[in-house]
Amino acid sequence: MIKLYLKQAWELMKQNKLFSTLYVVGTGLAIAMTMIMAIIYYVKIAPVYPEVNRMNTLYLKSAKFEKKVENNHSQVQWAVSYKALQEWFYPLKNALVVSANSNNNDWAENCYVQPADRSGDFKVKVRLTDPAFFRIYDFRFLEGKPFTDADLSSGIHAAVITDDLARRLFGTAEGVLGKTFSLNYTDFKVCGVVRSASYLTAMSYSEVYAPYSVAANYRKSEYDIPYCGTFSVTFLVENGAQGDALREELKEIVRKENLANPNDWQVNFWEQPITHLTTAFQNFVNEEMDVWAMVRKYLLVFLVLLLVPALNLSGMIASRMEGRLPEMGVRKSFGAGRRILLSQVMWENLLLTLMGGALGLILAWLVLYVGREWVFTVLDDWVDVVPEGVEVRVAGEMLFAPLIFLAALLLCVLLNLLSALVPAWHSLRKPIVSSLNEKR
Amino acid sequence: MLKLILKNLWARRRRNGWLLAELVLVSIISWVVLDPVIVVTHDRNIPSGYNADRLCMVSVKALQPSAMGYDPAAQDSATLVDSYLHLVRRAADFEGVEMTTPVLGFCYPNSQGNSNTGLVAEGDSIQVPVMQMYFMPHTRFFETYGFKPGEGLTPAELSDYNYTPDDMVLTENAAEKLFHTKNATGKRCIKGREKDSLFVRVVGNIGTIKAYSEWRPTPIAFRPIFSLTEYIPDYAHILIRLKEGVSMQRFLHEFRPWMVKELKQGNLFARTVSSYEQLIEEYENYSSTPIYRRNLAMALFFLVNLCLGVAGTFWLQTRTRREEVGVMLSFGATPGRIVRLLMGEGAVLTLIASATGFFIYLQYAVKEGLHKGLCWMQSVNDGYWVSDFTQHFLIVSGIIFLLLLAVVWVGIYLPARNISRISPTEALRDE
Repeated sequence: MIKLYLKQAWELMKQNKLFSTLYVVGTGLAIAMTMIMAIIYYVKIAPVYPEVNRMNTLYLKSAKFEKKVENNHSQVQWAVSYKALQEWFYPLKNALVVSANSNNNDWAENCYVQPADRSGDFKVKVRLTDPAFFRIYDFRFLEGKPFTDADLSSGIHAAVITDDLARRLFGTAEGVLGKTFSLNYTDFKVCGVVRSASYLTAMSYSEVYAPYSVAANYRKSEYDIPYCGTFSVTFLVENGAQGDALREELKEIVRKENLANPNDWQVNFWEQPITHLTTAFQNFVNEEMDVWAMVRKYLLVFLVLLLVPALNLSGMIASRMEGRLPEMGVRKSFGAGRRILLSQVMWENLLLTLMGGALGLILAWLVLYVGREWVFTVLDDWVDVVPEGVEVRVAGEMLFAPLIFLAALLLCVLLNLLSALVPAWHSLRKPIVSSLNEKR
Repeated sequence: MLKLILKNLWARRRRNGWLLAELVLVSIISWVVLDPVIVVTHDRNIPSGYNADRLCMVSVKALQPSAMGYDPAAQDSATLVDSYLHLVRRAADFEGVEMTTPVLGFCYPNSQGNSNTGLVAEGDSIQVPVMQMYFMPHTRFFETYGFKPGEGLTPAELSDYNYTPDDMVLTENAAEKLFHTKNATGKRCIKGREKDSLFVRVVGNIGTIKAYSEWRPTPIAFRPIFSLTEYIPDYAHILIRLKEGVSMQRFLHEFRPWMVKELKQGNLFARTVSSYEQLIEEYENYSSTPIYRRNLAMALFFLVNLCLGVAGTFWLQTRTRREEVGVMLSFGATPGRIVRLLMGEGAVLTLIASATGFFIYLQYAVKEGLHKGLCWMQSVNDGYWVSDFTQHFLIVSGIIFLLLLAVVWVGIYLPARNISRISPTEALRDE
């Protein structure tokens, strides 16, 4: 029966080319818009290269220190120091891997490479970290290997660079191990070349990865608080339970330290370490995340994106159903029930909706690829602009995931139900005589 | 004709109900997405108050101790200041440069950072929030920026004035806000946060300027700085004004390689050069550009949907309205009149839906307010229509109504034209 409905729908579609085109384009637009939103969040949340462990990765981005000097209270919101890394974080029991990133301003914002041909400095993104970083993020090494713990402790100027940067510096990504390049007028030796991560995987993206010990005064604490510094910390845990245990372990450290220094300084990590999922929706770690408010906001956007096209399609279906009333009258007079007729109309529309869905998915991919430099941040409150010279890579795994197809299919069914059910049901309620009268 | 239009719409109220619902929804959504766009566009089009098109900025950096060529002897504060001022003078000698000035700190027009304070006019008790920008006296700062002169001293005289640390230059709107006059020369303010009364004297005024390209003008005070060491090298720039008629693009093309090779002194070197317009664009990339992209994409989506919906609904109606149109044509109606009739139906539908949608949005706006623009400083009574609730609501409603009407008419025009061209005999064959 469904096959028959679909055949009839195909014929009707060929007869009413204009209606079919408008219907398919309208549906396509709705699906495209919602799929763009879905893919943006998929890229933010799902495990993609090299952040394949996102589900088990936790972050401690900053810390608040309250300092008491006589009657004055001052607050500093920064990160943790080298001393904190050594005493609090590296020895943690409830984490498989602990890695530190230095957010030293000089290195985070002002890194320029001086190319050998003296064609002018160009800016690069440099990440100062430790060897454990490469155990959390699954980088594919094309050559060489990460710098070692010995490199880190000796402060050697070794660097892992991306294949893109290798090509820009040396004209090739092969055979560059051991070569040197000038970064802020200091020579760095290449110890490994990795396949470049996408700029969209912000937690791991960089062009140069170097030991944090290359920064002068990396052991220095800030604001005269021994545990306040420039390091953020990333953790890899086995599962959610270990994540909770890690949070408890850190809370215990905070409690003890605050008790030990009641008249000096107090530290606060809020609810950190936070999961990767939380980072996708939270702007600041100190803000309390209202999950329900967030769900309401996204549901509302999602509904509006579907509701307007659904109303649009409903209007068209209502007008079209009037044209088909005589046909429905004849079917009814030969014994077809309202339920059967409704099912037929729904299947017919589903065919058109699926075609629109396919069009929408293609349109969404096209928009995401062409506008990749800005589309992925279009929903963010605080936009991170792509630096000059950085190519935003959109990998196939980001766009063509099975989950994306499933979401597109579900959307099509939902849109079909939203748009066709009410006008079709309303139209089929008319008595046979009235329906047949339309034929005259 | 209006009577006929209303009768037609009433007779087809069920069919048009869907369209009406969509129009109401789109009119509300249009308010949500287009209000920020309209307000930001309005604010961006307010003149900046200085001449940015002939300005460019050079960033200065210092070699790190591990870098080749680093000279520990050149790292003391006096040498760093000398080296920096030497770089400023050298840049001025480049061909096509009219003048240069040091820009220190992170607070200057369109800077990434900012510094704010509260000032109270002497004899008054109301604190006015004021943004502070810093300059080095005797360095042609005001002329290089090309600020419009205010009443009192000229920009050149303001640059050359012998300031004390408790002097300042106010923009005209700041003077007006504090002292209710455009020329506040000689008047004094109390710095709001101090426990003891600390007076700051107004030396002169410049024309009103915008702190950021997408803001409305806010009160600004220019404060002199005398100690340069804390700003060099991290917050040291060189501002360059080009001579009249010199192409910025060509200048940058020639200046950049020279700068990389020649513009260095001691441990300091010039790192990058960008036109001021490029700096403004970079700043806007963080704030207004995302609003344009996100909101216009949303608006486009909903308006295209609306257009498709209107076109589809009216096209499908043409089949059932052939006979009606045939009768009208046989009684002497022209095709133009038929088109106008259908367009009129669209216009009335849009008017009813917009009025409903705008009324619903008004309930929200009364409670939450309309979009205030991107300026987060406490607003000043600036006289712009976007700052007045009634004018703001009426003008934006008008713009959105016209936009919706245009979209609806685009959607109706083809089906209307199609139905108006049929021959009466063919249309009335079944009658």
